[in-house]
Amino acid sequence: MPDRHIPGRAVRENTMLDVKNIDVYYGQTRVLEQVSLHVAAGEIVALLGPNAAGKTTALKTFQGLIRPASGEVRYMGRNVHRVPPHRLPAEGLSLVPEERMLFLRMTCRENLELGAYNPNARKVLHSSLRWVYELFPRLRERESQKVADMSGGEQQMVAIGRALMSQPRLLMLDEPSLGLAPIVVAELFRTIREINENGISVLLVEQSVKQSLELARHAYVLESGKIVKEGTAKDLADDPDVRAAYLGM
Amino acid sequence: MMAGRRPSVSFSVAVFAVAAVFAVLPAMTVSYGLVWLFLVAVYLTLAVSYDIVGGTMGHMNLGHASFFGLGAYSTVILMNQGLSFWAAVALAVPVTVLFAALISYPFTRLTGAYFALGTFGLISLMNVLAHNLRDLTGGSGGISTPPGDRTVEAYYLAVIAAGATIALSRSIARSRFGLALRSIREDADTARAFGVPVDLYKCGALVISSAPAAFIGGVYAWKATYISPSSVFGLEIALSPIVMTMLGGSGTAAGPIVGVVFLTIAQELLWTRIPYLHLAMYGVIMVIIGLLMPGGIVRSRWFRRVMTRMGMSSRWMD
Repeated sequence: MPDRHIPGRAVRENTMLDVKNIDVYYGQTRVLEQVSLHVAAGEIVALLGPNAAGKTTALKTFQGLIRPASGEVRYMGRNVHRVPPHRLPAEGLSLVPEERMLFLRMTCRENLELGAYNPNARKVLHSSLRWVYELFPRLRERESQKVADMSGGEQQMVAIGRALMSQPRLLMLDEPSLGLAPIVVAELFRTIREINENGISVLLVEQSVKQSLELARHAYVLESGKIVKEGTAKDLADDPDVRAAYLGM
Repeated sequence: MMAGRRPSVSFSVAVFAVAAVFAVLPAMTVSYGLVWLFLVAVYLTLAVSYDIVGGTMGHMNLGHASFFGLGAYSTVILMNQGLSFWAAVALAVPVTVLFAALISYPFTRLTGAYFALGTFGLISLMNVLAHNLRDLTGGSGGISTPPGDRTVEAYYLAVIAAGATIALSRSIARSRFGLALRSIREDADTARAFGVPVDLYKCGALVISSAPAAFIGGVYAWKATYISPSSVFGLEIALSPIVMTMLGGSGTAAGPIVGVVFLTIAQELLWTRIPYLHLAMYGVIMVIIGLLMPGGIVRSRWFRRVMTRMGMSSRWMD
């Protein structure tokens, strides 16, 4: 990790994502209330919370797909709601959505190649592909298989691999562990750490709190649209409320 | 680059052999056979060019025949202005391509059933225009070219057009453009999120697919020496190539070819051998294929097995 020896304050100045006091409404209903969040370059941040807390809404807002009623989202200093959403992947902001959104009737390789469609990523397509195959050796074996015929874990690998092909600086993952066997989840989280060690910042949205707190450096807990806790992952793991509510202790 | 992208020696030999057979056929066969092969080549050109939009991009363009008809009418009208066939068809193709470019902007905003219905309406529109712009089109009575027997020349042109269209569709399918078109078929929003210029490419695919249809329309009119609204904007020419493509396997390389060859042979055998009910039997065959091989002949298991044993690469069947 490039920032391992840098004191916390210095890291904070090197900001990837800066969210300030956003309010989001669906019609009359307030879904997010005064949410603020910060991802520094090179770190893994976890956004935790139960179902219907507003985690996916938060991610869609960060990605520029939903416009907040107030507050702002800055990615590398730029307001994401002033950039057309389809331009953001080329700027290095990449989301692996919860539903994965894979091209099911195309091969694994074609899905990965498509991830590198933007001009910056296209130039380094072959080295990115080598790297993705190193991270997920299974995908090399499945290269010419249709994604529809792959298992849930393999499909998640394709989804993450495709996002990595677009040369991200900040990778946002929406519940990557959803529907996967525990052993596959453990492997996935190891890979996320490896991705991060290559200098890619990660914003991980998860329900599996224990594993996420082991992986992340900072974490936020979102409940009913509000950030109710934030701090280093270690502090949160020791917090009595968090332990009682999420870790069953 | 991807392995196996260069055509193999056996593939080149096969292409050469097929070309040689088609080249010497006029010397050996009667004109009835030639006319039949001409029609097969016309259907092939239409089916393969249709499938660039219909199969690769997944937008069912029921109005593909409007490009065919516009190419045919433009060619005949220009020939009657004293132009040679070559000059006429050389102008008719750009005219049709321009038309495709103009309609592509509104039509590619539609997807799924709306795109299919919208484009289907395009044929009715062309039909109405052909009936009513009498000074230009001759109305419902149709319009003739200067007379002449062009069976052999038209046969060669149609076979070359069919071969060129197949080559065009293959090179698109293997290109980055083709990859993007398939991603649009699967999920246009996600494709856009990864930087595919979806709207531009949709228009591009429609425009490209219009050119072979316009050219073969010109050749068809030149050979027939007479066209009418019902012969070039009728349901037969509009739907047959699409049905053949779907029964053969839309979105695959071999699908449109297999579908056209199989169904034209079936049609020919039925109406020469069976005096009554041949159309009903033709319909029954289509229904049976549709029921037993929902993804088309090419995607069925037995076809794959037979073809793989004959050494055909699975690339042609995906």
